Amino acid sequence: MSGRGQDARARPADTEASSRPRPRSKPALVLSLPSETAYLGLVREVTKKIAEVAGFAEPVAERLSLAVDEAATNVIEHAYKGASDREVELRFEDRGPDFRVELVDTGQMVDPRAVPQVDLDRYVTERRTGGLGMHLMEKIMDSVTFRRSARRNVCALVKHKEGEGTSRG
Amino acid sequence: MSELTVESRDVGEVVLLYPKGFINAHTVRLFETAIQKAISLKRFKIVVNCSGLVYIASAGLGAIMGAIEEIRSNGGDLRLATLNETVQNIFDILGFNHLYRTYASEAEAVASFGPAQGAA
Repeated sequence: MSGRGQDARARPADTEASSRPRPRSKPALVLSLPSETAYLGLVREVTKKIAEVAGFAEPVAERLSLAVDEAATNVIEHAYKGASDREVELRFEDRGPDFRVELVDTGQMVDPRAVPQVDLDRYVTERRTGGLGMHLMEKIMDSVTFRRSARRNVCALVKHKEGEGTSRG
Repeated sequence: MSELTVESRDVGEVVLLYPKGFINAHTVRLFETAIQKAISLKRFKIVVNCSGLVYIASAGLGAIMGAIEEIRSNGGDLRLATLNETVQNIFDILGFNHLYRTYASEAEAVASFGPAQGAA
């Protein structure tokens, strides 16, 4: 499940990968976009297509595209606070058994622990709407981690291929 | 082509909303405005017909959650009809099925507001 929180951020992706033989992976596909919500449709479509090329069935690819949409929305709304003149970089990597998407921004560090855990009943009574995106990302992906590196924020979303096409997330 | 359109029509006391396309952080304002318009007209029995809704991100779900208390506290409800598999799946992931009534058809959703149903 998700590695949100301190443990996860103390265990960045490269360390994860070095702990086991690195599978053959294709070169990353990198996409840079302006930080405008107008591009979220493109993010969704590109993610879905790349996930399908990586071998995911369409319903799973659709969910992965939602997770990446949510992550990109978080970057635009929280890291960049709605500024539309910044850049969001998306790196798609097919690492054999894993499909990995990294979103890189140079905005403000957003502490994922500050995002409230979702309690749907309280959402209704307290009129809260925040945190749903993070909740969706965690439900859909096998791992969601955040790290700060060279003044850049990196949100890494990982989905294992094994067992996919089944009912998971 | 627009990523989202939201048409509406009235059936008795029920307001039907027809979002067509994609609801995400970019398009959500249009969806939110349609819900708020119904509320401002004191029409609190709302059915969202999702047959044309391809995709909904958390922003759209947040728009529903942000309005539901006012709708219910005024004796109404927001109910959903004809969700496609993708949208149904997103609802399942979030556990929204426990919070919102969903119906297989628009007619069933509208009929659910009949006198026997009372306030939600």
